[in-house]
Amino acid sequence: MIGTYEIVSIVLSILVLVGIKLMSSPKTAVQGNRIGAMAMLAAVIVVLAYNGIIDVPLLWFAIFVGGVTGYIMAMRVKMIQMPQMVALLNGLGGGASALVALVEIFERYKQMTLFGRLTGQLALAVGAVTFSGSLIAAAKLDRRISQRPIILKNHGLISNAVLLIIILLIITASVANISGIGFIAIITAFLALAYGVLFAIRVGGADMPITISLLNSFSGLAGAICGFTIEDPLLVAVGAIVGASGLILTQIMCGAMNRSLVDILSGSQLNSGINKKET
Amino acid sequence: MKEMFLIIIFIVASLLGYRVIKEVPSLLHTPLMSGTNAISGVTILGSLVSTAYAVSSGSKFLGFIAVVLATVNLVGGFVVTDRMLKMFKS
Repeated sequence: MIGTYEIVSIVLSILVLVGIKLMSSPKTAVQGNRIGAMAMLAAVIVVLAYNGIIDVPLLWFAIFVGGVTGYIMAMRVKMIQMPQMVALLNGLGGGASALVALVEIFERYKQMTLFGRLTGQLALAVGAVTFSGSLIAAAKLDRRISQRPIILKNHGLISNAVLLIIILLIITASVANISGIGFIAIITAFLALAYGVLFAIRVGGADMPITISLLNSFSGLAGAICGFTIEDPLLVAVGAIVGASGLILTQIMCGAMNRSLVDILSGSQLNSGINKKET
Repeated sequence: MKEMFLIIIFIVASLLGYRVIKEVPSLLHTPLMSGTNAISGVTILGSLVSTAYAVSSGSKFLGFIAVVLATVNLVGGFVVTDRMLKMFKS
């Protein structure tokens, strides 16, 4: 079970950990970011070579288009727009995870085990929530949507109802062998998109950085769950590292701003939050 | 068996990821978030594999979009983080 690929995966995962560690200290941060980038480049090449798909032109074309777009976007953005840029990029990553899950479900649902079906549906849902939630966060920070928390009537009830339906759909599609799986998967994706919107519009502009950090953790988690579906240990490991370190960073940021995550997600404003909780 | 192996990897990696950062100066919160966000573009590994093996052209198209989005996340994320960090130095 432990072959060359698994060993390379462990080495690259450790590199990612080292990169994140270095990024948390001012002196070594630049270096840490570059180590992370190197590890990812190596991971892409290893995965292409290991799966024998390094000579597929379509993949290189996609990498080229994405790479050029990403580079231009990153160079053009002004420093003051950085938080919304990070939110936007994070959303794209979540969207990519959701699309991978969708492709896997469309192509292989019939042959999938219970584990594959469950993780595929989960990755679809978490990825879609990350996508729409991050886009709303970016739009709020960019003042395209009001920075004030938008709270609908019965907001909590609606969110929970949507979440419950998503969970039921995931369970149904995993346990039963459904013939119209494509349709179910698309419904799940749309509900998850709606949930992401409901989740993010409720948060005030000042609290958005913390929400983005949480969504960043989600996108790592979505990647890791995708890794379960396609049975890739490297994707599982790196996704889990990002998911967990994103979560701890969210906690650190909450502490620094003297806010509780529950207050932020329920859309309570800054002053009322401080009155309620002293953390 | 393979599934058990993957779950163990997930748990171990989560624990390591949870312990890797302890104290971060607030100046570095955004760059660190941005850097880990870039790494979350790791989902490109999944998109490459599923696009390459997809049979129907619809799936291939969705997979293509997934690779593009993940690459934007990766490249954009690292470049943005690098720019932010350079600003602190000067």
